[in-house]
Amino acid sequence: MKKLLSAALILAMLCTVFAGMALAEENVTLRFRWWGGDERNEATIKVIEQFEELNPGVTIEYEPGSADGYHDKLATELAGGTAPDIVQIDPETFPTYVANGDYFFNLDDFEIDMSAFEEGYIHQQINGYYDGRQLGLPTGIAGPAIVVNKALAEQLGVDLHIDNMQWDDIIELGKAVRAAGDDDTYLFCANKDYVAILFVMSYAKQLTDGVVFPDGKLALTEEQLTEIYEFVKALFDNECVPSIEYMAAYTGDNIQSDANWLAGKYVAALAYISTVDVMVANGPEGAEYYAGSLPVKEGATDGGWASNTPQVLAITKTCEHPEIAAAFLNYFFTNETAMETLGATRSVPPTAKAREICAANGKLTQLVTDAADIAVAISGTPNDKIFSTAECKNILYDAVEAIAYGDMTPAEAAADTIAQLKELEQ
Amino acid sequence: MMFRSAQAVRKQRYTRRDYQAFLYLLPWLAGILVLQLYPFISSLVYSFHDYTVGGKMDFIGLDNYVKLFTRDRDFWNSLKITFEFALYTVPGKIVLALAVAIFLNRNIRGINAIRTAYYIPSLFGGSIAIALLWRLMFMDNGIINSMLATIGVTNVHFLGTRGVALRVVCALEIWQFGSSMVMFLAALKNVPRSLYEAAEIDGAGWWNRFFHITLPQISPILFFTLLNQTIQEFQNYTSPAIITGGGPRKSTYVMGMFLYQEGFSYFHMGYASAISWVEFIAILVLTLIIFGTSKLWVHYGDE
Amino acid sequence: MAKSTGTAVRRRDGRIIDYLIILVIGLVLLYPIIWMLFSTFKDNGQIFGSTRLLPTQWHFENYVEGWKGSSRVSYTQFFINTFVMVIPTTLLTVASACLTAYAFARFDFPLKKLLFTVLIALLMMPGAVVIIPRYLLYNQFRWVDSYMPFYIPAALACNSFFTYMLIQFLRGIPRDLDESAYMDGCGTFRTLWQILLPLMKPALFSAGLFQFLWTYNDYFNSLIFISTQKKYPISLALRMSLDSESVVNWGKVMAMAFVAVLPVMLLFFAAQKYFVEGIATTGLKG
Repeated sequence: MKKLLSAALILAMLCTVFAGMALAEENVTLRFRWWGGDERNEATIKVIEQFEELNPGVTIEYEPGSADGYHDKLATELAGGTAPDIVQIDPETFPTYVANGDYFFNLDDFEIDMSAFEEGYIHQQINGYYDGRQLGLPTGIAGPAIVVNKALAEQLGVDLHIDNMQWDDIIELGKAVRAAGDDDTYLFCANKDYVAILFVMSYAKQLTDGVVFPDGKLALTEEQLTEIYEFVKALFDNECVPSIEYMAAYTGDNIQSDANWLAGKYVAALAYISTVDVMVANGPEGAEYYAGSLPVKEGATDGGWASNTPQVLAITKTCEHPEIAAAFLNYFFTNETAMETLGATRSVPPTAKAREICAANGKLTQLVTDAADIAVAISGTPNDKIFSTAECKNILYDAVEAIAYGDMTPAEAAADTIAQLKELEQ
Repeated sequence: MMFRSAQAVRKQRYTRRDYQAFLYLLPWLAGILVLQLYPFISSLVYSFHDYTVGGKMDFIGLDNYVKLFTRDRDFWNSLKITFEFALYTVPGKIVLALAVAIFLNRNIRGINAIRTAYYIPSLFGGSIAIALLWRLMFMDNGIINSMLATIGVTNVHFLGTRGVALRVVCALEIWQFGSSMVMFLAALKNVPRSLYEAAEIDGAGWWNRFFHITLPQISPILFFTLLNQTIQEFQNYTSPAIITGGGPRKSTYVMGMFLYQEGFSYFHMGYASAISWVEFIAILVLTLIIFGTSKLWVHYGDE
Repeated sequence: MAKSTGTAVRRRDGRIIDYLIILVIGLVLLYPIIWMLFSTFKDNGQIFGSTRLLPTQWHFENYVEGWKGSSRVSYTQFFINTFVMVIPTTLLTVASACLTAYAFARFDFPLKKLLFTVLIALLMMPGAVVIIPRYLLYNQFRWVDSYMPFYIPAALACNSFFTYMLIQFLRGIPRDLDESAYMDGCGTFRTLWQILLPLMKPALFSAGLFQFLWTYNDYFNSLIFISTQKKYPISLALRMSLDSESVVNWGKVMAMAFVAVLPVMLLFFAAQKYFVEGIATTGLKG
């Protein structure tokens, strides 16, 4: 250990000598935390190494962690003032942190080339923009996606690529699939969580002009929610999705390990743009897929399909060298070598340049690009800060489950949900 | 009540020897003062505040507790489920562990390997692999259902049926009975063989020896295991969290999960602290009951 | 326990039946583990898509790939970290719990009832909720991202479980043994060291084993207190690359979970003779 320390010390001293041209006058060590799978971890580390090479004297310690418990740890650290300098954050958790304290630097104050991002995209709250301050940078384009098994869809005679798709179309398609397919064949591979987040939440936003809690007050009425829940009930009653009992083994993100999806029994899966590749990888070998349409209610002023980012990167206020951390983010988002290295490991990249590079070297599949195009085309206002909380989502999961089990009628569930949502008002 | 040794009752003054106890207690007392007191009291203080992790802290008196008892839709359900969960797992685990320990407390060839094999399920703890294993076994097209199919029972929704899902979670807990088994094995080793030999000469049968020698002799450890398992299972969070996530319809949403979700998913630390103090009181009451019965059946060698 | 003195033949029949019972119960209990062992050689398709016990295709590379770990830190490092974290924690726990338990079981001192109540109360405190203040406190001591949050509480007997467990074992040992030693002029520490410790071996080893296993498997505390990946113990490493946005090779995860269990399995196997060498075989009691 001692040897290691002294070796590190000597190395550090040497670095100082050669640091003439470097950004930093002295040795600077920064910590960067994210979560991800092997591919993302490796790509991110490579980018860190590239940056370190260009900036002698700067060391970026990486702390790739598990998505499991990630925010438990980060919340604890923010409270203790020990959070890493650069952190990857779930955009849906970000508002909670922003509301509770002054934890992040405004990135506009540093030399980051913001022109790389599209103006309308980066200046959205979900992408890190809060009251005129850019507290985080979006790592990519995420959003809902419908992954359709081409061969099976054609075989059963259903087409999920419909212009101006309506909610009721889904029910009709579901019935057709049940009539034509075998016992385990359903239209959608989806559990209660996916039904709630993709269908209920999007439908709700289509009914409320995009914002469910404008100014912190609930805009959704009981009648509107009843309409949504009638759809949910029809979804289960007509077996557009597998039974709620069956899906109990695949709650949350476990949907990707559903045996029937692996066996190619579903016509389509509800997914996110960032999980499209995962669903494809877990599906039957050699199957071809296309991106399905997302329904938008006739007359809705807002598409409702929350296109957002899978993560944001932010610099914490406890960082002693925010200018260097910002220089790293600048490199991360705007350097072409970095873009090439990162590829699509954080979903579809956030800048046009990076997308171009990824498309050119094949890291971005046509399926993912199509899914992103569909989502962006009908994307509405991002979820507001109350609607995107974990609490709100749990209320909706429970309601979907209650309807699926037949414990509540859509009207009862709607009344119950509204009462709970009102408690979240601010 | 807890220490009824004859000397303590008789003695009025403490001797020099008695004061030496504090020397041995020194690390523990230091630990309490330096490490334990602050978190313990903090959580009590938090419970009277509207406190979001890392955010502001507003004093709200008893509001958290009032909300918990009167308005919270999950609290009473969670409390009931936690009792049910403990009611299945504590006796289940203890009986299985004791039976296996007695059975394996013998000198036959390969007994070491056999005991190790029986302990293996417990080695994995709440590991992610076990979570996956349990889901794969009990899912609709899982192993258990395909076994049941051979005897004509088809498609039981183990994870998707209320009431059944809780038992699946309990099964995991009971299956990991190894730690209790080890306790019992160690305790059984301390039972003097001469007692059995004497009983055998008197012609006492197996059950007779079990009830009159084995049970009383290991009763301090049996008591400890009962107490500890009750406390553990009351606080259990991992097993339901990794297998069912609290569902279906919150039928496996135990207090531990409820507390964890409020504290770490919603960051309502004040409210979570209130929950933990209520849980604490509930466990305290149970503990006192268990202590109360201990006079009747626990026999210490030092009395 | 039945040690009847029948003929050799009868005894052998009994043995065979014993083994049969052990085998049947063992198979039922271990079937999931056996299934899991085979699944370490499978790919995702076989794990999720089929209920077959044996793999159709053996993926031995799950072990090789798995051992490489994640983000350039291999399981060699994770194992070293785990032992550096777990072994001192275990030894310190047993030592401190032993001293504390001795005080409670063999002395009558002022405030004993109160202190015992405190000991039990600490056993009942739900852990999740004290984690934030505990983190803040340890952060003040500059212990975060080191193994101190494991060592120091172990040294100061902070886990009441072990103390209380040893109290119970000590109370099962007759007092006359150490009382008479004390009467003979043996100091209190020598009494503990020479008379009681040898008798407590089974208990000490079980306490050690438990602490070893629990620290080894402790995910939550490791998650909160350890940040640098190079310091990760196995419990963190096992979940490292689990992410819904990437394809998780579950065979690899299972393989490493299995490898992770091996040291504890060996430890249990090796430590068993100390459970067996209980007071009963020394014939001191009764």
